[in-house]
Amino acid sequence: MKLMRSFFQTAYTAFASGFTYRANTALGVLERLVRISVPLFVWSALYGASGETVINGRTLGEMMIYVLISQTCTALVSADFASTIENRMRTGIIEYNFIRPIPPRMIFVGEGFGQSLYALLLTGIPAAVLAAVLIPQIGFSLSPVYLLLFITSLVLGYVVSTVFELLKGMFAFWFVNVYILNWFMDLFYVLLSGAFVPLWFYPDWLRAIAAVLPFQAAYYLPVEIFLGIRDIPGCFSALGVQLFWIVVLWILQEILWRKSVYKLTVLGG
Amino acid sequence: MKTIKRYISLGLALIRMGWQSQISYMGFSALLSYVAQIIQFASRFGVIWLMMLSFTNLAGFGLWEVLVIFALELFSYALANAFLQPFWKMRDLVFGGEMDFYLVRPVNTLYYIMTKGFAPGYTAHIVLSTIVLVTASVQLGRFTSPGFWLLVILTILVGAGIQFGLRCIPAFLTFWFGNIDNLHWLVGQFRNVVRYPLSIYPFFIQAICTFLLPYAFINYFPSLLLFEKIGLTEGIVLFCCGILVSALMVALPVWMFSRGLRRYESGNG
Repeated sequence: MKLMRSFFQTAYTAFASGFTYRANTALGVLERLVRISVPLFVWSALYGASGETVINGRTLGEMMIYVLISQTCTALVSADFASTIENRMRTGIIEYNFIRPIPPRMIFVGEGFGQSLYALLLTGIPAAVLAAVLIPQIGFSLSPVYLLLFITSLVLGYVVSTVFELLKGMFAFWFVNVYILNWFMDLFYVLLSGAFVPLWFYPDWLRAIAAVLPFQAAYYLPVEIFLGIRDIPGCFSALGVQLFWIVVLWILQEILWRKSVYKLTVLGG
Repeated sequence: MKTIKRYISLGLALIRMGWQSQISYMGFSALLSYVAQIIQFASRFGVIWLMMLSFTNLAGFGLWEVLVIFALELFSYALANAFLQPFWKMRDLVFGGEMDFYLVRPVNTLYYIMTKGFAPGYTAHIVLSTIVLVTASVQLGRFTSPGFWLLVILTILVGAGIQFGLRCIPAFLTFWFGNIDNLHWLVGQFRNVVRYPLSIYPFFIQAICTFLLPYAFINYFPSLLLFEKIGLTEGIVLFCCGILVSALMVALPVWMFSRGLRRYESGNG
């Protein structure tokens, strides 16, 4: 109980620190508005130029919803605390995380959670405004069952990405330069997560590769459930895939963590 | 004349030192980071490819033409930003007192910061965009056209001047307004806007990208001339406007920096 309170306090501190500069937060909302708007315009132009209303079985309206939901979900699941771990390794500040009465990983995850909520708020505001304008025109509705499944999938997606970030963060103990790993990972995140282009537009061979990697479990599956592309058993199999990746990634990071802590060398002090 | 020579040789020496220090300090990691950056940005080109896979054109531009638009932006961005890395941490320079280090040198402060902070990593972006430009020129049957390449080179140089302004102006506003990191991100977000033909956006976004944040002169307007989407005279007039805008975007930050320095108070007492 005490640990959970500490966890939420850490998350709250990270969340609140985002609001230190209010003008900065307002600019952040505008920045996210631009970020969300670009794919909306691109897909509109692509559909408009094709002269078709349905491409690969999907309408422009569905694409609009996809963009709004995937951008919002991405904001939630994109906390980059592997870089925080790297930075602390580099400067030696990591030692403070080890001498506190909270497990270090809980601190990393707590901070990441706070940052995620802040990013979700920044993205959620413009996404909600755009949704309020677009959804009545598109005529999209969501049943309570699918909403529940979506929320469950979103939470699981968050856990997948969090455990994956922890796993990446472990590499900081061995190589320090996690940002290089982050750049390499960008290839997978951008091309194979389905967060930028929905997987139904992918060629079969690329979709097959994406299916055996954990990225779509974090970013794409919740969106697919939200859009109602899967039937109920399909939704449960998607949740099963997410659970599978949570278990696999957790085991990997646990093994690596046990080895990593013995590698830790803090200079100075 | 002697002073100019001295500045050039000093600048070249500092750039060389930047390369050498990165190679000797990071060694294999430096090479790996270049490869990682190429992969990272290749994934952005990949997104455009995936988006257009099921469509024939985007506002009248084919796949390779859109890729050229993106490559022109990326190349000019890298060319300018290779010298502007220190301004990513403008807050530390101004409020952390790090500017002191540069102010005590007997050379122009802005020039010294730029050359001392040379970031070799941007060569990865240049290599990648060159590969894309060459491949696209072959695909479009323009590889052997001297006019095409002359226009591409001039566009990149003009674009680099505009990128210089778009990076420096928000950074130098820190002298007056404190922490406005998200303004950098907001301005930077318009880079995503101009990755695609500007004609897909509504008028107000086109106006922003032309008159307020003149990204349109970096790639979109030159691409109209490059791909003969407008008449020659019209295209040349637009290109000349781009040259003027570029000159302004270089002169304005230089003036702002000299004014801003007068407000600088060393943070370390």
